[in-house]
Amino acid sequence: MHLRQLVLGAGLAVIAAGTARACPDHSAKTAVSAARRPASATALLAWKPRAWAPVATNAMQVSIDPVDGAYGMPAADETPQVVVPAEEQPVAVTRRADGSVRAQLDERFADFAVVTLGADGKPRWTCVQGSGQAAKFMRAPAPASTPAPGTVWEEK
Amino acid sequence: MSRLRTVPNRSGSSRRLRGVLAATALLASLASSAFASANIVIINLDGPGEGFNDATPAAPVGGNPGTTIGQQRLNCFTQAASIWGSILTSPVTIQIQAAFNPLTCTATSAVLGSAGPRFVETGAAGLEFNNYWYHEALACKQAGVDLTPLGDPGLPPGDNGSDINAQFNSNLGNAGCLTGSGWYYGFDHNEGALIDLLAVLLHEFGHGLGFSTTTSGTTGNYFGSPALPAVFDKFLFDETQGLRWDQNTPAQRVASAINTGNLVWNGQITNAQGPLFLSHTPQLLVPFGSGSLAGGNASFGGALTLGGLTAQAILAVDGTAPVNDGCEVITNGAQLSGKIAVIDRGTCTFVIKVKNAQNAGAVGCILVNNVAGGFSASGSDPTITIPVLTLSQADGTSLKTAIAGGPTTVTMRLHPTQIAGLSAGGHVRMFAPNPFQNGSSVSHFDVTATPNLLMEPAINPDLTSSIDLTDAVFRDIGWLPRLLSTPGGGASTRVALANAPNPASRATDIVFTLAADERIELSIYDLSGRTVRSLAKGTFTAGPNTVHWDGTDASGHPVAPGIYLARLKGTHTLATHNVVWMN
Repeated sequence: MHLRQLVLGAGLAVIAAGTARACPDHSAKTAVSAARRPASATALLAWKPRAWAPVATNAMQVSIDPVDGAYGMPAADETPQVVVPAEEQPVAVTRRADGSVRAQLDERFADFAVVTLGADGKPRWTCVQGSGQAAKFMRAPAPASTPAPGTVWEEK
Repeated sequence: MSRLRTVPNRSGSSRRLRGVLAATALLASLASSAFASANIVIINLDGPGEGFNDATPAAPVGGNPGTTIGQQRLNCFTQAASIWGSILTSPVTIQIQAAFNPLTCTATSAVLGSAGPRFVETGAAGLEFNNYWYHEALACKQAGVDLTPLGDPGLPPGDNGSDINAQFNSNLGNAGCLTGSGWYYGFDHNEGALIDLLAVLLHEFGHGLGFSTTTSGTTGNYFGSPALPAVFDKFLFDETQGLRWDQNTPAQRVASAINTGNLVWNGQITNAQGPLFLSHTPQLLVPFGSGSLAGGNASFGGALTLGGLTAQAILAVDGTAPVNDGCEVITNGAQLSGKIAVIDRGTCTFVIKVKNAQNAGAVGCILVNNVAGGFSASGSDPTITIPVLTLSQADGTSLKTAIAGGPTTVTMRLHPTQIAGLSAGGHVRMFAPNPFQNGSSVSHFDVTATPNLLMEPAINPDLTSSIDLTDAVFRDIGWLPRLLSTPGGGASTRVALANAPNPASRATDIVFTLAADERIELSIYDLSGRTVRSLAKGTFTAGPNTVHWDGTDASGHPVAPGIYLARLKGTHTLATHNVVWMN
């Protein structure tokens, strides 16, 4: 069972990487390249920041029988119930012929400046990473990180 | 100087897009000054009449000459890009796509905006370290080519291949969206009750350019496939474990992320610059308890020294309830003369309290908090010459108890070895609170640093446009040459700072050589980080420059013998030098 789960996990990782969104379509390189150029200023004007790429949260799952090596659907109790942190969900990856790799980040990896009014009515802003943390802040606004005592200058 | 310009190809030649973008004024870029060593362009993604193109009239403010809201926003972006661009070097244009949009907010809280790298790279030819993730802009700089050129088949349709994405809240300050506390678009950091957009941009661009890790602080796992550490991790060091984040296990990284005070930055340049930039902590030596109390800073008054000021501590009385707050003329002046006044916080400003104590003959002043915790006292009055130190409420109570019990002699001084923001091992501390603060932990400097730093998670209003120690971190990760300071403390690759004679007794000449004309500021600081004297502020010419210092402070009084820091600061220059003053 242990080996089976390990193989399952490895398989999941490979599949997740392989099916990550926006993999390069090398077969259409030239045509796509030309088509991707903004056709006009109007097109660009209408182009707001692209929504960060959605996260691929599902992937095909396979199981390899530890006895005969046959592929099959995993049994119910073999399906890993792993909660993967948002920052570890797959991202789009481009592997180049020279062996270099580019990963496309999304809003999970952006740094968000968030602000709330302090007891004195003055805005206090702080920095959190990822849209999830920004949303969490907005649900319960409070300075995510309080300056150490004595590091905020006060006049009275 | 900022101007609209076309976007050169990031490897040097023009792009087909160039003419279209220039014609429609969609792009703004930073100024090309004599020093501009990295070209950073802002790609304006807003449509007509919104965001950067908002035509609402506005009066120029704080050095921002824009006459519409949209222009002022764009000017702030180009100003932030200009500051970063004048510090970094890259043969490849750095592109930041940006827009103002309505983002989540309520009347009392808001998402101000976000910025971050759009890509990370590993394995590209030219990268200094193999098997690390690099933020795109740094990877392009080191590779010497644009790794995400327009039309790259790996990019989604319509993607411009920019390096950083930035999006900020266009509704801020409107009804229901942090009502009344909107953006401040000036460049002078005089934001008052508003939000200083330039400071926010400098901070967030810093993350997008490389000041962050892609490694999870909650699981300790490296990012991506292949799972690799970020180049940032190569310099994150756990002093307890004795391991860097590219050496330890996921479990060790999880523990390290909450190892408060012991997760540090261990890079050659930052290690050298940290002790020079950060300040010694104030300390009060007392004849009870452990023998010393941790003090807080004041931004005014005479300098605390390592040798310290020793005198009897006396509780000041002003005759008006509450009688120990020092807000009125001190009535026990005869008792206080030649002694150190102890005054409670509250009712009036710190400057008023200390001035009253000085007028009563006190030679030093201790301000005691009236709520739990410590504090730093700000204010300005050049006529105040006695040193000031603050105490927490608990420590102040113990001091007052001792005073009530009999004559109590104390010493106000700087801690000889403890520097605010440095670890026990002498490294600059990284933010590692326990419990883990998802999103803030690890990828920021620690909040204990004094003076406050741009890349702390809680931004403080005393920041300027200087990128302070972030310059050193960026040298460590490979943005800039790793050149150590010259003997004596010169800290810049472009400028050597020195003084002669040194040690000095009556006067000294501070000498620096600039590679080109530059607007700089030269000031003298004491070891607690307070400004003793601003010596020069303005544009200096290329070549050697000399500024004379007669050894007096801002009030014209001779400074006490000790070590002072001469700090030369420009948009791309930060040099510090020790000046020894003798009797």
